[in-house]
Amino acid sequence: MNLLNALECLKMPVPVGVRPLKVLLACGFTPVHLETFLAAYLSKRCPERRVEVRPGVFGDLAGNIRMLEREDYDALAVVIEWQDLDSRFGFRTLGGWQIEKLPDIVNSAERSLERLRNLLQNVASSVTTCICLPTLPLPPLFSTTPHQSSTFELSLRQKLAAFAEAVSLNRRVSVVNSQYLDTVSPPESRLNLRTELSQGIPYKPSHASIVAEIMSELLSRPVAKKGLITDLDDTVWSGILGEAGVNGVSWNLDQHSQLHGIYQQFLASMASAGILIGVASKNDSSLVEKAFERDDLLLSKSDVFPIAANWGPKSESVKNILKKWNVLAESVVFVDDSPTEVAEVQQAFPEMECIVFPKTDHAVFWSLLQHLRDAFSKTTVSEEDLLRLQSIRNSAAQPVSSAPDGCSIDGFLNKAEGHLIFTSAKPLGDNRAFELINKTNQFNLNGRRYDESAWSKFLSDPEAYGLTVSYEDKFGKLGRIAVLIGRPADKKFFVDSWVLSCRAFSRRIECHMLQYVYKKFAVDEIVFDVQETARNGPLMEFLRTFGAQSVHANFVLPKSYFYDRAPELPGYSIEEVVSGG
Amino acid sequence: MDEDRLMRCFTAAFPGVDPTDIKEAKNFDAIPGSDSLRLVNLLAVLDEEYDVEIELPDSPDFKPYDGVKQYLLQHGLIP
Repeated sequence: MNLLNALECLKMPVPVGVRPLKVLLACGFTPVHLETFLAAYLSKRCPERRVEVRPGVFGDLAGNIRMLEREDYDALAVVIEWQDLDSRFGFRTLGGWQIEKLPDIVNSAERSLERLRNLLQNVASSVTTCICLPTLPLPPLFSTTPHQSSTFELSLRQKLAAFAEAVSLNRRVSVVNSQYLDTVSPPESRLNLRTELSQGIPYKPSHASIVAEIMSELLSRPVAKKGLITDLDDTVWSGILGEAGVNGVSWNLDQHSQLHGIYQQFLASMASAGILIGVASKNDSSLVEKAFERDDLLLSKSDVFPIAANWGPKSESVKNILKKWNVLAESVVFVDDSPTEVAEVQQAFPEMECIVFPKTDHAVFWSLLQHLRDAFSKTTVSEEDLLRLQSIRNSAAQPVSSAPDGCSIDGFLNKAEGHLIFTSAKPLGDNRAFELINKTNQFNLNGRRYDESAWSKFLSDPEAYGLTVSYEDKFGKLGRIAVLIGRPADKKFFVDSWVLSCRAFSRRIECHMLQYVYKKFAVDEIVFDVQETARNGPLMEFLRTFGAQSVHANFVLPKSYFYDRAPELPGYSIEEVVSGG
Repeated sequence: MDEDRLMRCFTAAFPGVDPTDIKEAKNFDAIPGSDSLRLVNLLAVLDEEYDVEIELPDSPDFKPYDGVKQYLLQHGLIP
């Protein structure tokens, strides 16, 4: 996006009557173009919000960050330049570059970084924060040739890296990847010395555009995809299993098939972060079984579920995998080396991203790995992420929706040895609860999403109440799978948001939750702020079982109705945890 | 002469201002809503669009639109 496009983008009509997305842009220079670009990119990414980017004052980075203490913002964008660490790095201040001053300049920069770190720890803990480290070239103040790194420069960069590492430990803080920035904004095309001296604007508009684009992506991340379905032949390995045999397929340097080994390693890495990996392959299932027994395979059988190896259409296999995962097609990526198979799956699932595996094009392969990392990115990996695959595997092995051996579903659930943990606490700082609220589609009361600021604000209300639920049974642990937030008032409980992970369906956990709320607050009615969305069919269906002809906003469920119509609740053991907050 | 292209730069830098007001303005201060920020934006947009760093005369008689057009014509940046 160039400046003309950005200015025109900001002229477009903005939504009225909605809460604005307020972003504080803290930097020490005149951010005029950066501010324009950041507002334009955020407006494009959040078309439903009215974006307001507020810059601070010139030359006071720390003071600008402190503006967070005086006014509410939804996000903080911090852009650090060298002169913010010591004014002698800048061109507008002539502080002297003599050799004897260099140790002091580096020490002074270190002290500035320490102050910034403390400041960010204090004020940036309440909002989503993105930090861009200095991107401009250091001025030629060191005695070494520009081809050589000065010891002072290396020391300076080490201190900067230590600062970045420390601030990135806060899960609300993200640091712009300078390696990525180097690939998209050539370092020699960043500084505009003329406008820096005349107006205090050091960035060329093209560089400001790229910095703003990256920061807007980090401040408004889209929901990550959940699962990847991959082909096997000429994708996970090189060769056709049915022709080459189990030992004939390869993924090594000797047979020029290393790309497939890297792909396996990449998939195993994704699986270890809780991303679902499934296989859809036109193959003999017994051969596939044997291939997965090869001990040199980097993607182990335990990383993958399910494996659909058959001779039917790929789209059928994909459909079955989606059903077993219980996720929507839009949350999944399909990878296959055959353009025909990719086209067939794409036609069946237009909302799914379908990619041809580039088995001979190394550059495209590299881009594919980068793209997949982006699509499935996670800042942190939770315990629930690690439990996901195992719990889906267990669910598929012991489907609770169809009772085995002629037993009733009630009998089956009662024998499952379920254990529920109800945690009564506002889930402030609980990343998993925040993620569930913002990722769950199917059992979701109204599809309402929260940004970090709105979430904190809601939970800071003294009247607000939060309930998170964990579940495990003899088949395995699901971890935290449900969140309900709302508030009691006038013998009623008003539910603002309620989500239940699709992995926990059909266990009647939702009924247990409502029973818990009726008892805990001794209320006669629960009032749901329900809204039908394109995807929350399971939630609507659940509420309709309680006799409502139509379910609409402020749907009231009297306690008597609930107990009359709720199915028998399985005899799970229940543990209650009450914590402050 | 691609007048639309030049006017697009002006209307982006001076949002909400009628093109006629821009054309008829006797100097920058006469463009409604004019301030230093908008002038900075205009210069940066012209730089991007025509690859030129324009030095504007600090004169109350410099008609912005015609003056910039003349500058671009003289430097062969527009036909």
